[in-house]
Order: sequence, then C-alpha cells, then structure tokens
Amino acid sequence: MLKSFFKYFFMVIITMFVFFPIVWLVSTSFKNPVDMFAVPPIFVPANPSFDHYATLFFEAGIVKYILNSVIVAVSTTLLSLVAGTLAAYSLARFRLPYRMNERLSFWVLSTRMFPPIVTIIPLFAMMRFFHLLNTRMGLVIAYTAFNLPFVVWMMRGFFMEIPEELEEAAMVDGDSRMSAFRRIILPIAKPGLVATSIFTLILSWNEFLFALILSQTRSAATLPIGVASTVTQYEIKWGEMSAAGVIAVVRVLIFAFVVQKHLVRGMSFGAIKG
Amino acid sequence: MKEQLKIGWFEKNTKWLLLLPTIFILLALTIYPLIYSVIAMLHTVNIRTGERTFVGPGNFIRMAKDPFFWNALKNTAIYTCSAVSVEFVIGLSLAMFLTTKITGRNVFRSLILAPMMLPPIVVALIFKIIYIPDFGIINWFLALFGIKGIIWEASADTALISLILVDVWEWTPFMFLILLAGLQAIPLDPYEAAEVDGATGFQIFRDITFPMLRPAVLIALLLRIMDTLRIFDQIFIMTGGGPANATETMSIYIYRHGFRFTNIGYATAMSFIMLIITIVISNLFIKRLKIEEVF
Amino acid sequence: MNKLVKYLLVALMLLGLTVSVFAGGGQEEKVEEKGKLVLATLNSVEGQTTKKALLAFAELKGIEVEIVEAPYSNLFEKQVLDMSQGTGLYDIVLLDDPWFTQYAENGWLTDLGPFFEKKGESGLSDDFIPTSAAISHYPYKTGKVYAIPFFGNAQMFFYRADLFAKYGLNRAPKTWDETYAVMKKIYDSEEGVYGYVLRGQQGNPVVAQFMPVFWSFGGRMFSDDKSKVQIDTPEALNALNFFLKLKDISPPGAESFNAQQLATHMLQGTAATTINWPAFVPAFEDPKQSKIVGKIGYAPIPSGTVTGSSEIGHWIAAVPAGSKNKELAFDFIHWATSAEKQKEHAKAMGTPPTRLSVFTDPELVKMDEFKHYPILKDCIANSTPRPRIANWNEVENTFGIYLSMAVAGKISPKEALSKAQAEVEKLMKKAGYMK
Repeated sequence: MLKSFFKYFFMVIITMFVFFPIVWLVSTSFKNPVDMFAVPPIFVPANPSFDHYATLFFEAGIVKYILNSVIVAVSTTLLSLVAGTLAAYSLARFRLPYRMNERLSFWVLSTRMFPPIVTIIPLFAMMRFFHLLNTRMGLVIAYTAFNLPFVVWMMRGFFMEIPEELEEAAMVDGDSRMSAFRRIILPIAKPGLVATSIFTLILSWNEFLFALILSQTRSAATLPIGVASTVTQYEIKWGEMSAAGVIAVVRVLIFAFVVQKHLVRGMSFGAIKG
Repeated sequence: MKEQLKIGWFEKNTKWLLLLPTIFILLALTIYPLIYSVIAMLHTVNIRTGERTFVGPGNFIRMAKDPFFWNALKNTAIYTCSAVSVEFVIGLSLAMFLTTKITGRNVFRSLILAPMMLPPIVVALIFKIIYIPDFGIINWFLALFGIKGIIWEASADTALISLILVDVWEWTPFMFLILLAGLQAIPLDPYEAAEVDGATGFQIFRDITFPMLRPAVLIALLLRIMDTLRIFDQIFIMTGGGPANATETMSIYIYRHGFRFTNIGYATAMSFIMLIITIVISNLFIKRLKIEEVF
Repeated sequence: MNKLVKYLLVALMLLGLTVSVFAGGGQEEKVEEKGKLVLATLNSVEGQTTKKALLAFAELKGIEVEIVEAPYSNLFEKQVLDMSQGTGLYDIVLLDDPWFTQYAENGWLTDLGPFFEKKGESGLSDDFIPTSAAISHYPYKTGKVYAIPFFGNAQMFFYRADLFAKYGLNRAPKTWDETYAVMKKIYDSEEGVYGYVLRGQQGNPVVAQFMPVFWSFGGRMFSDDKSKVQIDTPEALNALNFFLKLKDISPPGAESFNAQQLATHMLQGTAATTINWPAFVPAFEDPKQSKIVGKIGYAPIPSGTVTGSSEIGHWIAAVPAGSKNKELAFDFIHWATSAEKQKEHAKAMGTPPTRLSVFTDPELVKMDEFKHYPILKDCIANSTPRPRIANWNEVENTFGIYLSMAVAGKISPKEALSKAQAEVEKLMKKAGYMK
C-alpha cells in the first residue's frame, strides 16, 4: 500500500516536471503584458488575453507557415514511407549478390550520420541549380533524404520479424510475391508503419536548420521559422513567441497522444530485438 | 509473348526496383555534397573579391591553430558526454520503474513522452522564458528555498549546464522509450529461473537484464550521441554561442563561418572533421552491436 | 502476376507528381514578372516601417511586393546568400551599415549614381547629415553612392536626470569621471537601482557597446591605412578597465544582455544610465510601458581622455546588383527617404530620420517624444563609424569573444587584448589588409 503510494507520488512528480514548462508556455501565451513577469507568478491569468494569437493570425500571417509545415511534413512522410518501405522489404527478403544486403543497409544507415550542417552548404548550391530554393518541393526532398535511413532501418527490422512462411503459404495459394506483400505482410507490419510515420512526421515538422537556409522568402518557410522570427532585435515578444510556440506544439501533441500506444509497441517490435 | 518477357524482367528485378527510389534519393543527396565538400575544403574564398584559390591542406592547418575551433570541439564533447550520460541514467531508471506492474502506467508512459515531440525551437523559447533571471519562474521558485541569483544561460559559468539541462528535459523521454522497448522484449523465463535460484535484485539486473538490454542500450546511446554532436537549434536561439564562447558548439561555429563570415572552404573543412568524428564514434558502437543485431 | 510492382511504381510516380504539384505551389514566379519588388528587411520597428512604406508605394504604383522579414541574427546571412550565390531574389535590402563595405567591395550592390542622374540629381541630397551620407559611399565618403541612409541610428547616453540631480549633477554629464562618480553613488545608495546597464552579449552587441568607450579613451582599432591593428595598446587597456568598472555597477547577467534587456532595466527604473540606440526613446516616453516618463535625459557620449563619440549604426537601403527591377527599387528607396516620408515615419513609428530638415522640423521638435532630436542630430554628426573593412563581421566576432571573456571575468583585460590583437591580425592578413 505504502509502496504503491510512493510509486504514484513519484509518477506525479515526474509528470509535473515534464509538463510544467509546457503549461507555463501555454499560460504565458494568454497573459497580458502586465501579468507576464508578475511576482509572485500568475499561473492562470485572471483575464486571459487572445491578443497574441490575434496578432499572429491577422498580422504576422502565421497561417502561411502552418500551411507550409503541413504540406511539407505530410509529403515528406508519404514519400519516405513509400520509398523506404519498399527498399526495406527488398533488403529483408531478397538475397542480393555481393553481400549487398549488409553493405547497402550499412550504407543507408551511414547517410544518417551526416550532420545537417555538413550537407547544408552544398545542398544550397544544388537546390539553387535546380531552382528548388524557396519551394516546398526543395524542403520535401531534403527532408526525405534524412528520413529515409530511419524508415529503411525501422521497417527492415519489422519485416525480418515476420516469418517468411506467411508469404510462402500465400504464394503457394497463387499470390505473387508482391500481392503477398500487400495482402499479408503490410497489415502485420502496420504498427511499425504507424510508429515510423509518427517519427517522420515529427522530425519534418520540427526541422529548423534546412528550413532556415533553404527558404529565403516566406513562400516555403515552415512553422519553426515563423516561431524563431518572433525574436526581434530590440525586444523579445514573449507573448507572441509563446503563442507561436503553442501553435507549433498543439498539432504534434494531439497527434502523438492519439497514436502513442503504437509508439512503444512499434519500437519494441522493430528497431530493437534482443 | 512480349508481355511475358516484360513480366519476366520485372520479376527478375523486383528486388532492385524496390531499392531504386531510396538509392537514387540518398545518392543524389550525399554524393554531390561529398564531392562539393572535398573540393571546397581545399580552397579558400577571398572575402573582398569572391575569388577562389587552391590552398591544399591550408584550411586544416588553420584549424589546428584556431583556438575557437578547439573551444567548439571541447564544448561539443562536454555537451555530448554529459547530456547523453544523464539522459541514459534517468531514462533507464524510468524504464525499469515503468516495467513494474502498476495501474495507470500506460497513461503515465504516454504523458512523459511529450517533450521529445516538441520542436527544438519551441523548447528553446520555453526555457528562455523560464530562465529569465529577474522575473523568471524558476528563479522565483528557487528563491522560495533560499537559492538566489542564478542567471542560467546568461552567465558564462552556467550557460553550458543550462543548455544541457534543456537537452536532458527534451530527450530523456527518447532514451526512455527505446530502453523501455528493449526491456519489454526480454523474455520472462530467465527471471523465473533466477528467482528460483534466489538471486538478489542487483544480481538479476547485472546478470540478466543488462546483458539482454545491451542492443537497446547501444542503439539508444548511438542515436543520442549522433544527435547531440550536431546540436544547433536550441543553442542558436538561446545563446548563439555566448557568453564568452561558453556554448559555442561545432555546428554553431561551422554555421558562423559558412554563412556569416562566408568562409565556405574553412566551414566545409570543419564539417569534414565533424563527419569523421561522427563516423568513428558510430562505428565503435556498431561494431559492438554486430550488424545482425541492428538489422 | 507482377501487376503489383507496376502498381507500386505507378503509385510512386503519381505520388511524386502530386508532391511536386503541391510542393511546387511555393515556387517563386517572380523571376519573369516585371514590376514586383522583393524587400529583405529586419523584423523590428525599422523593418515594420520599411514594410509599411513599401506597401504604400506598391499601392501608389500598382505593383506587387513581397516582404521578407528576418531577425537580426540571420538577416545578414539571408542577404549574403542571395547576393553571393547570384540567386537574385531580393530587389531591395535594408542593411546595417557595418555590412556595407563587404557588400560594396564584392560588387553585390548597384551603383545608384545613374539613377540619381535620371532624376536630375547629382547624388545624395545635402540634406542628409554628412556622416550619414559618408557611410553610404564606397570607398567611405569619397566613392560612389551605393545606398541611401534610411534610419539615423547613433548611440546616445541615456541617464536618469532626476537621480543625477539628486546626487548633485544638475546638467547633462560631460566626462566619464564626473559621470562615474554619480553612477557609483546611485549604485551604492539608491535601493534597487544599478548605476549602469551594460550591453555585454558576445558578438555585435558587446563590441558596439565597447567602441564608444574605446574611442573616448583615444583608441582606434586600426591605423588609418588599416595596415596595423591597435587593439593591444595602453589606450585600449584604459578603456577596457573602465568598461569593466561599468560592468561592476551593472545588473547581474550583463554579459548576456542585448539592447532589449537594457531597455527593460531603464523602463523599469532599475538602472540609472546606459548607452543605447534611439529606437527606445518612444518607449521611454510612453506612460503605458515606462516608469521613467519625463525623468530621462539624453546626452552625447561622455569624454574620457578625448572627446566622446557615438558609434553610428544606421540602417541603409540598397539595391542588389542581381535585382531585375533596379529602377523601380531605386524609386522606392528614394521616395521612402524623402523628408516628407521620414517625418511621416518618425510620427507614426518613432524611427529616427537621417535628414537635417526632419531633425529641425518645427512640428516635430515641439513634441515630447522628439525632444532628443537636437542631441541625436549632434550625436550622428559627431559619430564614428565602425572600421570600413570587408571582413568586419569576422573581426567583430573575434574581438567580441575576447571582450565577452573579459566581461565575464574569464581572463584579464590585458590577456583579452593581446589575444584579440593576435587573432585579429591573422584575419587582417588573410584578407590582405596587412602584409
């Protein structure tokens, strides 16, 4: 009894520690300037102000940033999931010559080691050459490149977990390899697909450095750029800044909570097998 | 007849066709940057005329003599080591705690994953608000316990630690997630056997849990090390590398040279060193993992 | 039997296509289009002003415009990337004057001479303060004109006139000696008020803060022909020692303060003096934000061993060489920097002008929020620019790191200066200024 009391106490403490900064962000975004730095601090503003949100939506044009972010994140996820899953399936199931299974897998993983700052300068030159600067397309391509290794790696793990006999049985029944893949394997690998797409979505939604360099105008600027631009030279607009932060966070959090159970399950399924 | 031939070709090459898009995208986005970098790092661009001259190893010699480069390297090392080890210890404890049976643990699990989902930029802004020395919430709170006058990321003495704390807050959940997944994959039989033998909790941890958890531990450490080595967003927003260069990491320093001082050659040379460091460290881990365990 | 492979391939292509259609929506159509102006500007009050001006201009001319606002921390990078890589996206850039030498020397800017001629003018009007005009020419003062001064920023010494009177100084402070004596008294005896608030953030801020002190102790960073670095000198050491004395009476955390923290401390009445930009004057005189309305005095930089001089920090507008709408872009900056427009901007946004006639405008000088105009005008007229070198950004960064270390107490002033001297010399050699 006492033991489980301590456990719950501990869980509450940890949760507070985790959530306090987020709650503080939300609370700050609704505060009037006078309440912002009041001592003692005000946690729930008595008369919440929506001014900061109004400014963002009507003056700062945050809608454009949101739209760009959604399009870029969704396109990236679709593209890298389709390409990555196919490649992962091939690496998991077929015997490639010259020990290519291991070598290719390793090479794919090693591209994940490139720190973004290493590739960003040449990438800029490349994007300019193909007229992809300031386009969402440019960002989608760049993000796909750094998400692919992750997708391949995760999905390969999943496919290898699934017994090959399942496909063989289906193929004996007259299915082709690929229809067996679609009918039998994909449904089984669904938790993996979900977990992988969550990560891909989050990564591309949150990315900052590429977006900072590759979008010189607002036409493809994503939400993190919008958030960063609330820091101005003479003043930090604390209210607008936190409101922008809340906007950037809300979508990710809702999404993550809806699908969170797939996350732990997905991770234990694929990436790590003991 | 013709149709059949075509099908045959598809069938024979399915494995390559499936790989094609991925290989194409990755090649396009890694090979060109690599070639570009190798050429650029052997050159220097004159800041006054934009003229490019070949300097051979000149940029690397400059690096050796550049105190700021060594400082950035040192800061990156400190940041990576401390952030990752703290995250590992907390993450592992939490994961072990949450495999014990307790009602409501699933809700709790999903709750504490929140920080890693947030954009790093937003995390940086949150802590900028929290850390404000005079009117910030954390100093108000500490003052209740009589601790006063910490100025967090604003002081050269505490700036790096303040940033590491941010990293710990944001990324411990990730460490936790992978370790938890690893713990759940461990079969129950050895534990039952150990209990029969009357092993202590510590012995069980040392002899069963930890060895079986090894792949998860290595993967978690590897991923976090790769990410902290490249840390950029939070520092860019919170301190920009200051005060007194106390928080300047490799990524920030490379960014400064590449985009602010327009020293593309020097920046790519440093990037190259950074890439090598990352690859060497990753290989250390991957070798231990044995490739079959990763894939 | 392998239908699915084909389906998948087709699906992938379709997906690629939809992605490109969707994603391509962001593509710039600007390049071909005539009569569209793209402005790269700051996201603070100066940026807002240029934005509003450009929108008004667009309406007037019936053209399309796009405004790119960036924080100070990466506006420079955006502009340099665009101009050095020849992207040619921006038609107008609003730049901080110390960046100007690099832009002009690399040939990134359009020579505005021919455009002035078309309007029947020989160049920048005499109405611009001479020091403002000088920084818009390359080489400095004597060369061709590549920019038009937009906002007349120069540092001023802000002090709490009420507290200075209380501690025995009933006029604007003239020398550092007498000023420091009063500041110290305020710091010692006035509860909750610091004597000074220092802008010590590494990089541009700390250097901008140190320069006026440096100059008032007779220092100069480079010899006139830039062939010698003069950082490790007795003058500089005096200046840095005094700078650290200022830090001692500043609020904690000064080593990371930028302009906004200075303003906050002044507005809250928790600091008695500072050196800062005039952009804050409207806030100081606004009862809604300020606890010190009417209590603040404005003065030139006090003198040390020689007469004090403000650092000039104008925002100037230029037309990149890659612009496809140069004439229209020039028309805009010419129009927006007219006396009439500058007065409008001052009244609406509180931004400082660059023309003498606006500084002396009878309507403006009568208004409370512009009571600093005579002082600001003198500050600009007697100001000193940052060294006109192309690699200023890198030099400033290096110098700023060592200043920041000295301010944080990590190394001694002497060591900071000698190390800065050595590192800056390396940079000057690399850029070919020094042999």
